[in-house]
Amino acid sequence: MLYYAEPVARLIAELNKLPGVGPKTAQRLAFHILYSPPEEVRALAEAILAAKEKTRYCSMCGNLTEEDPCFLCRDDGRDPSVICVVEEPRDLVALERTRQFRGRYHVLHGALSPMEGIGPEKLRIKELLERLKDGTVKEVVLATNADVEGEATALYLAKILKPLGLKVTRLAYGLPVGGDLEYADEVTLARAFAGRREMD
Amino acid sequence: MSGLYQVQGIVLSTWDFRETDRLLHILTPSRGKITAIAKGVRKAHSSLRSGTQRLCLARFLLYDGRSIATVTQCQVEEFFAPLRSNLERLLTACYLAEIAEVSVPAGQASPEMFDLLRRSLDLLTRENPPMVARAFEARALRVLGFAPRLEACSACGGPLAEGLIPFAPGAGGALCGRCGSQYGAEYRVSREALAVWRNLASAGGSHLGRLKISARCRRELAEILPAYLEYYLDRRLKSRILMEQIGEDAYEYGTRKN
Repeated sequence: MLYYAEPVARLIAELNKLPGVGPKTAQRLAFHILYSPPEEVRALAEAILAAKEKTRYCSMCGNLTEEDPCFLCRDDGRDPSVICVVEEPRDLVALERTRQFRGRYHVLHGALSPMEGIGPEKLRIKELLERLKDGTVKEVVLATNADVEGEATALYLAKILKPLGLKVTRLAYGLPVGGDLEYADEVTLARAFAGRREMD
Repeated sequence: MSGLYQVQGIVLSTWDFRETDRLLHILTPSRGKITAIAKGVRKAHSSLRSGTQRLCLARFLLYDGRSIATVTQCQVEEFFAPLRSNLERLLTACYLAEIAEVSVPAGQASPEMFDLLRRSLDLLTRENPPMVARAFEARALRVLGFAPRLEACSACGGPLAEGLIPFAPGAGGALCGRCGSQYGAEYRVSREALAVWRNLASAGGSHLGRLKISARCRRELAEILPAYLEYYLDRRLKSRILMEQIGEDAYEYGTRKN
């Protein structure tokens, strides 16, 4: 038995497919859309379609972009001799927000996962090796997550990149800014201690 | 039963869940494999972050909910840090964790498997990874009740053949010449390999560094032990496939010499 009119039921069912959206949330979102002015609903629908239709992956770095190559790969002011390797486009955005890195990026679109059977062939590693062939790149910064998958990916990349004569670096581990030592976990503290630096 | 309880456990696998939560499979000695949720653990300031990392031994304070437990506190007991700085050790550790994951049913206490995994992860921080894997496989088969017959024919009980010995996982181990052709044995192994297998299955792992094993015997064991285990687990282990694949990739990119 249908409790809602067919278009509403369909909207709820589609929203329910989104990550983290359960049936109740889908219902609440659907009613929010139904009570919104038509122009707002149209703008939302158009934004979803435009995001899907107009974005693609940059053929160089793999970032999401409207134009190929993306604005980061087109930017002549960036240092082409350093490439920062990240797992997802979201990680690239997080690093860009720091305004500390002025090199280029490479997005792998995932990480090696031994227990889920995700191997190197499912990541954009061949594309990375292609980019390194012309000899412009001197340093590769491995900015994968500090979990088992991220570490496995970083170790694997270091293993295949070091013999190419490149400088391979890894992001440091340590305390989050604003964090209290008292509440930091043992592993983070131990790694922060191991990576301590002499003060200027 | 619901309420708070403390348990020691090793995190076998994790999945991201919702915005900042993570689901965990924890192997415990007293409660077997537990599924638990660590809420908000993916936030930078979460105090649960390191204890809920895969391959971490920690003491957890869990709240037993209606369907799954919730991690309320955790304290790291052993992080096995050297595993995370060497690709071969890390992949082998994932392989051992996958064996424990698929072989221990949820909620069934398995203190032997917990102890075996804890000791093996510790050994893996300093011993040769393939040998730790072979020792773990041999001991795990015994813990799971799938130990093969290695000293006599597993079909007729007669003496084993001279020279290379027929071996068939489906028949339950080594075979004599006559039973070998009857069962269509897939493998031929040396007496040395069977002796080392028996040794690995019966002894703890502390002697691994002192074992003198020929390269040929290592290759034989690397072939038959995982194959025998996978036969009884009735599946190909994904981490083993990846280990083999990464080995080939390393050859392809010229980083390893034959």
